Amino acid sequence: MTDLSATGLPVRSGRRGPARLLLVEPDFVMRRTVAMTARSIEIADVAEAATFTRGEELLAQQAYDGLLVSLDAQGEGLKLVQAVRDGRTETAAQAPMAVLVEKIDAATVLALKTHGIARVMLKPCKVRTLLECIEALAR
Amino acid sequence: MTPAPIPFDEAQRLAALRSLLILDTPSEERFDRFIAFARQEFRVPIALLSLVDESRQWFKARAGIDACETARDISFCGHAVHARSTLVVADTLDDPRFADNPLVTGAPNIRFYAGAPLVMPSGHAVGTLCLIDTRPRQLDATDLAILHSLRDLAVADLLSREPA
Repeated sequence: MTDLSATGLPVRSGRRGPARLLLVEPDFVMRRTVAMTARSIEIADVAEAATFTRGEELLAQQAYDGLLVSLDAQGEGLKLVQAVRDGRTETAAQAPMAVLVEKIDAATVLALKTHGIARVMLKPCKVRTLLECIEALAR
Repeated sequence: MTPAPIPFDEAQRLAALRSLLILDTPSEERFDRFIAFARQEFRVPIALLSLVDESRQWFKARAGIDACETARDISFCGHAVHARSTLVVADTLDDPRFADNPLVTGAPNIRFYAGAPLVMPSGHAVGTLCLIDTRPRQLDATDLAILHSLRDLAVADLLSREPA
């Protein structure tokens, strides 16, 4: 049997392989830099989606241990979060999730609380901040 | 000051650089994005995508500096290209290779430098993605990993770029 701990990537109990997270972020440089760095420093295996449509496709194909979603003003990102929480994807409904937002107000905070969001980050934020978040989601 | 050494594979390295058909081309948004991103991520006043030509380093993308090129012999990037590994100088005044470099003693008064070489698939380093500050700094392992990811993205774009 392969010793998965030798990869250095976090191994979640009951799962085979390193923690696998989905990052939904439209900005190419941010998304690619975060995903590449997360793998190189061995904190998680990060799948990438540039759009919510692509995020939906990936969520329909396989389960993720956590999600990091950049929310939009049109509410498509929240629909993606809701789909996970409703159990309409392959990912566990209680999977940890964090979001990135352009701005925050009371209504958004309430919606995010309702969805059990673990962390909210205000844009623009640093790659390092997202990596710390991913590391926490992967635990 | 130690002038930037010439790599053993200089002729092939220059051939690899020139085959990119990028020297002296206009700025391009995609490379400018990497540099702007790096500058913001690391909170440095200067970030560059530097290509080390025969006698100069020429900046394909630059932020925080007006010059579009400098002489190769005084370049920091020439050292990183020679080593083909990331060069970090935490404080130039503590490094005899750079303490009396005119880019240290005069504008832009470099005190910190970190340059990740742009290594082509052939193994030749054609330049660097580099960060410059006017105060001493340190980079930790995560910082270096982020710098390397940005460098890898820049290399991928250099290789996929359609010549202007």
